Amino acid sequence: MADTFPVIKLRSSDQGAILGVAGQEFPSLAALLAQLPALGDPANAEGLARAANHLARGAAYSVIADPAGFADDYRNRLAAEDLSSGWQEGVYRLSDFGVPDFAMILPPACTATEVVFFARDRLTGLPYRATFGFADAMASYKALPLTPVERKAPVVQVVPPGTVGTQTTDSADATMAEPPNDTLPPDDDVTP
Amino acid sequence: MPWDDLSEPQKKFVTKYLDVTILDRIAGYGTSDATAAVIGSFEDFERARLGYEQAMAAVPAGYPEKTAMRDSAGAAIKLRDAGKFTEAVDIIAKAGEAAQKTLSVYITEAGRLRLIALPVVANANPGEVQEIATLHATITLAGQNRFPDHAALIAARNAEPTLPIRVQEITAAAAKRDLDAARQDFKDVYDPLKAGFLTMSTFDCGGPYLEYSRQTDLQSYVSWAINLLELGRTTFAAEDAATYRQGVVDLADKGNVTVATLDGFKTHALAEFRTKLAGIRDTFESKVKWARDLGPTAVTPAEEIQRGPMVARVKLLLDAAKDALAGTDLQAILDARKGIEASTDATAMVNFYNAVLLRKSKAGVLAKGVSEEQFKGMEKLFVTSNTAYNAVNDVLTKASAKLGDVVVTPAFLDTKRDIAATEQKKHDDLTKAKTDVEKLHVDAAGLETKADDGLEGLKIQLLLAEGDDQKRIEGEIVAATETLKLAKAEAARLKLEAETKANAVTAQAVVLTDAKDIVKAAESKKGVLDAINHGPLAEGQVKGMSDATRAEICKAYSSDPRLGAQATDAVARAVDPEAVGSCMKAVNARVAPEFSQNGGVDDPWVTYAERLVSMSANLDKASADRLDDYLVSDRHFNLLPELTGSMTTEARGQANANHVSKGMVDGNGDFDPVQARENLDDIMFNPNVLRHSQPNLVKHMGKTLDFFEDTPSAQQKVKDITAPVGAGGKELVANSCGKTADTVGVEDARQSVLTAMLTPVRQGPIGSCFSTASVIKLRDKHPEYTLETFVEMVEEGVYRPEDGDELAVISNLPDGENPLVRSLEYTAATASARKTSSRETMVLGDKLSAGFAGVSAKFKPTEPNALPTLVTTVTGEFSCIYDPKAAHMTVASDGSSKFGRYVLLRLDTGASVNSKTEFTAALRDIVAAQIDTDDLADTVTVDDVIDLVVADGAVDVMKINDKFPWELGTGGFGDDAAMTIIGEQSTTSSLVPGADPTTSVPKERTMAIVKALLNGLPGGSDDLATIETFDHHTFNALPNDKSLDELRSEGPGKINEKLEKLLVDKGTELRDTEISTEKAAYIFDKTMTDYADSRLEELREPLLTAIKSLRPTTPLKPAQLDTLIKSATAEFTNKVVEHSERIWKEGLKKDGKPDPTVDEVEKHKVSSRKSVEVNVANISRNALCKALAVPEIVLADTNWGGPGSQTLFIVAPDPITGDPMMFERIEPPGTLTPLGKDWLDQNWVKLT
Repeated sequence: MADTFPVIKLRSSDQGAILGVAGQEFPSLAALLAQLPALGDPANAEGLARAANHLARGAAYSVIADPAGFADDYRNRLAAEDLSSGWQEGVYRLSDFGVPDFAMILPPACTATEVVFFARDRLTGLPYRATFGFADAMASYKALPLTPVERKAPVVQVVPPGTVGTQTTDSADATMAEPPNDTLPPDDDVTP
Repeated sequence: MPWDDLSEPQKKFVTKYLDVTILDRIAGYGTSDATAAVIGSFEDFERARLGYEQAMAAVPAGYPEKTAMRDSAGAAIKLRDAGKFTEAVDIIAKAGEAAQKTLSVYITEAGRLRLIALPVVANANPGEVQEIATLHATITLAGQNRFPDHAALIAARNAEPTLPIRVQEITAAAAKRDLDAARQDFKDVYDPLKAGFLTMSTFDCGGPYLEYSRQTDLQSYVSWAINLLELGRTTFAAEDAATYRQGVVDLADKGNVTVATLDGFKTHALAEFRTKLAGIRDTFESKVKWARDLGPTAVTPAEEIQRGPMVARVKLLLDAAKDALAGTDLQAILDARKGIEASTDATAMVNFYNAVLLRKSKAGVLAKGVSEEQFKGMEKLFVTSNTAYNAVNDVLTKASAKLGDVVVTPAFLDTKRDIAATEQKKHDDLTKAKTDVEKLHVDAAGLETKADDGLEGLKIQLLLAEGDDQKRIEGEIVAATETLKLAKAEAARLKLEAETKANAVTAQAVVLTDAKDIVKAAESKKGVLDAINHGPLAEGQVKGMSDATRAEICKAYSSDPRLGAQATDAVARAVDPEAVGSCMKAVNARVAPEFSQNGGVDDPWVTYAERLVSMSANLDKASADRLDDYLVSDRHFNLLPELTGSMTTEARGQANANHVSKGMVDGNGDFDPVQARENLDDIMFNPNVLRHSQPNLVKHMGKTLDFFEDTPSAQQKVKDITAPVGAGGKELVANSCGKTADTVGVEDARQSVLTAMLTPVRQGPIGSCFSTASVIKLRDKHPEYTLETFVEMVEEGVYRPEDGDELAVISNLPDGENPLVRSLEYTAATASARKTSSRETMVLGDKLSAGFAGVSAKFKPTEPNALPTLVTTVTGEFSCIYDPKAAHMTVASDGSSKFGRYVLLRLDTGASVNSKTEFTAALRDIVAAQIDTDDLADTVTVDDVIDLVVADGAVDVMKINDKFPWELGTGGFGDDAAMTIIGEQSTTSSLVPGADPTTSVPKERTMAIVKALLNGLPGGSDDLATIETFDHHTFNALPNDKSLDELRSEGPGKINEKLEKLLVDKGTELRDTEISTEKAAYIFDKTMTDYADSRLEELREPLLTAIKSLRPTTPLKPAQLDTLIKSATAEFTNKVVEHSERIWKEGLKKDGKPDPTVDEVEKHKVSSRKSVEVNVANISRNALCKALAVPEIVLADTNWGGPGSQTLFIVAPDPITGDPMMFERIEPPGTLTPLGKDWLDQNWVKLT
């Protein structure tokens, strides 16, 4: 039972991320588990995952403790997105990337040597499978495979007003096509 | 110098070589200056000889080459005795140097042996082993620097058991270094300096282990090479050069080149010299005979006087050459050739020959209807480009068959075109009349049939009728008979009339064909003469154009004037003029014979030829050389339906790239360079594909094939590709191959990766310039790494940036574009943005630390990390994103607003934070949610903390660099993208600070930017150097572009001076120099005609009228010609404005919109007028720049473009204003558009 374990607080010092348990502070999970081995119990995987995530990536990722809740949030966010528009700089939309196989996303789990958990990139919202070794503090964040979203309509290319430094030019076609005129495009090229 | 002061040998020498008169004077009064010089030379020789003797005395007696050295010295003494001091000193000095070097090698070798062998000797009994004794003796000698016997040294080297192995090892290593250097140097082995260096490096690197006999051979060999150089590079066949190189490599490598080999080479070289001399002699002999036999009327009186003695003297030289050729004396052969080449008589002979020949030829040319003015260009060709001269002459001959001896002036051509137009109209009218009559005849014939049928019916009725009916029918038969008679007569009349009209059409067709042929002949004649006098075929207009290429282009005018004009335009903008020449050769031989009799716009073969030539302007010569095989193998008849039809430019690019990628690997994934190149041939040369050619794609694909051909590891990576497993990768492959995701396999994966590699990275309609610039650089600088990236994207559906966590690939991509390239661009932009966010939130953390400082007192003293924990936690709840639509927080100095900046984002709500109110609200929420209450001191509440952090005083100190946390600016995009995508750590440094647009002067800004770019980016290993117009656009400068070579040629210290000369001085010169009337008329005609051809037919008339009425009749400066072109388009502009208004109004009506107001109409008129005027101004400036061969310096790649072209930033002197000006150049076809002043005023920075 997770609530039987003392809470591992995610703290910071001038030197970086540290952990705290019952007034004591630890620079690493290895140090913490050395002193408090009971916290390494697989039943405490969620606490360990949060601690590992804090040490490895700080606030950039959040641990997915509730896969079903994550799936609901993901689907809701997708549903709210406009699937007919194209990618835009500075706009983070899940539909640009795709949908994970939610069944693959499981609650945190741990062994004697590492903790395995799924995390959400807080900027993009995308899921990752993370592992963190207790002894060496080596972390790995692997992007989950995503199935592209079926688009509702063809992507319409629109240059946002005020966007600078964007231009497309392909005049060579015009020079090689039939002589251009003032109003007509080349005979069989289609303007998107 | 008094006689008595001379040494005995000097006295002996002087007595022997100076004449008696001088000797008398010497005896009496001392030596003159002349004799002093001779004696000086003698002394030089003696000095060198002494050095040689001393060195030789020290060289051990057994040294194998000692005899050869003595022979050299003996030869030198003989030369001295023959009075050839320079040669004698040279040889004896070299022999002395060789002896010295040999000696130094002995010293080194002995010393080395001593060091190596000393321990052996020290521990051995010298009397026990003979070898040790020998060694000991040698070491002793080495210590004294004495070497009585070469054999003793060799024996010593072989004595110590480990020495031979050591020697071999060291020799091998030395030889390897030696060979590398030698091979490197041999790339330019024709260069005497390089050859000399080779000798030295071989000599030095070989160290003491190379036998000096080899050096002798090598030196001899190199001296032969230098002699061969005198033949000129072009006469030395490639295979001979290869043999030659191999010979020297063998010498340096193994040292086992035999004398026989060298002798064989010498024999070969001698044969080369003989052939060369024989050729020169034969050429002159025929000229001598020709000159001697010329009739007196063919030469001028002055030439007649010159002729006899000149011929006689040249004849003497030829006789000497004949004698030399009869023998095997190399020097005699060389002397004979030099004698001819250096002879002023021979030069006079050539000039005489050319002058007479030109005079004769000119008379013939002028008789074909060429003015003296027009002949000037031909006269230059006669001297420099004989093949082209003949080609032009052929065009004139063909044209004169149609035109007689008329000189084709612009007015003549106008008249003939008008006549052709009139005849065409007549033909059209007659054809219409004939068609009308034929229709009437058909109708009449119908009526006749009908009447006939009616009469026959009545006749049958009559047979059956009785009584009154019979009478009635008889009456009707009479009437019907009359009707039939009339119908027959009318049908016959109309038939006759139709035949008459048909005959008239046939006759008119003959007249029309003749009129068109006259126009065509006139256009060919004027076209080729304009091209060689005023256009790109004139001398010096196109660098690197050979005589053969110029001739092939001239020849094109014979086939069709339009093709000639197209080829002339093409060579002016060609990447390699020789590629155009190669293409034209194939076109002239294989395509032109297919032209129909009339040719012209309706002939698909002419159109195909034009498109081939236009494409060749974008190719390197090796690619263009493939055209002939393509045509011979009839591959141009392949339809390639998958590459034609209606599609977007980008989709066409994908189809083309897929076509090439399909040929790159076989079913096993093995690279197939032959099929790949053949498929690329289709994209370059197939007539269906050329309807929408994509030169930029072709160029990139050629480079990509080069890369794969040169990189076996890349070929293997493609072979090793596995089928995609993830949905993201499958989707990318499916989109690339046009399949569904569930059907893609390993072959599709390979093809999609290859297609992506074949697709140039360009910034699309949607994109991030910040990441695109780095992706472009990644693809250019690290093609194999890019390949690996594409493979990962396909196989695993992820992108792994150089810095940061991997990302799932973006699959929301524009239709038609390459999915892998666009996905890489977008995904890399996202990865880069993560880095930017991380960087910006670190800054936010610093700001929060400052603002939260006062909170520390609210925590328990036992919790020193409570404050950093709170700061980090709160910081982690914010992020920063780049929003291209967000307005800048500050208004620019010119009052304008800029868009695109970072925006602070609350991660808990996703809302942006743009004000103090929003920020403090965010702090309240986040602190309340995140603070660890266990850290709080007794009695302190969360609200106490919140009140503190949102207090004005606290927020005020969160301002760092004059910015509050919510006032985010811009910048750093390029740095982050470079780090994320390429792994290049960079910082931004200023090139040219931004300028106040209200006071900045464009020409000054231009010079400042160009100087900063050239001085700030010195070129080197990277072809692309990332730069930014800060906050605005990130792109790559091109510091190694070949257009910069001349500017950099004298080092960095001269760049600014050269820039001033090239841009400012040249601009002034161009602006102030009058263009001749003929050339001005040529530029005017061509500009206006090209412009008219590209306009709607219904709008052309004012342009065609203006060409005739406003053609220049006096010399003009560029600005005057520019004004003339603009005024010549004034009426056309009015028409376009009216036309545009009508189309616009019709569009509104069609869309059911109300009629525009008067104001709206006026606005529309102003807008369309401005649009046309800007267009005309560009056309005019481009025409002047091209016609005046204005030098262009390439500065940067803008990221923009597509499969067809790319856009560069360049700078050039503007011939109209004389000022330096920056342009966008669309490449191809090289069209220039002035760069807006907003670009000039930007803050230009570089990433380093």
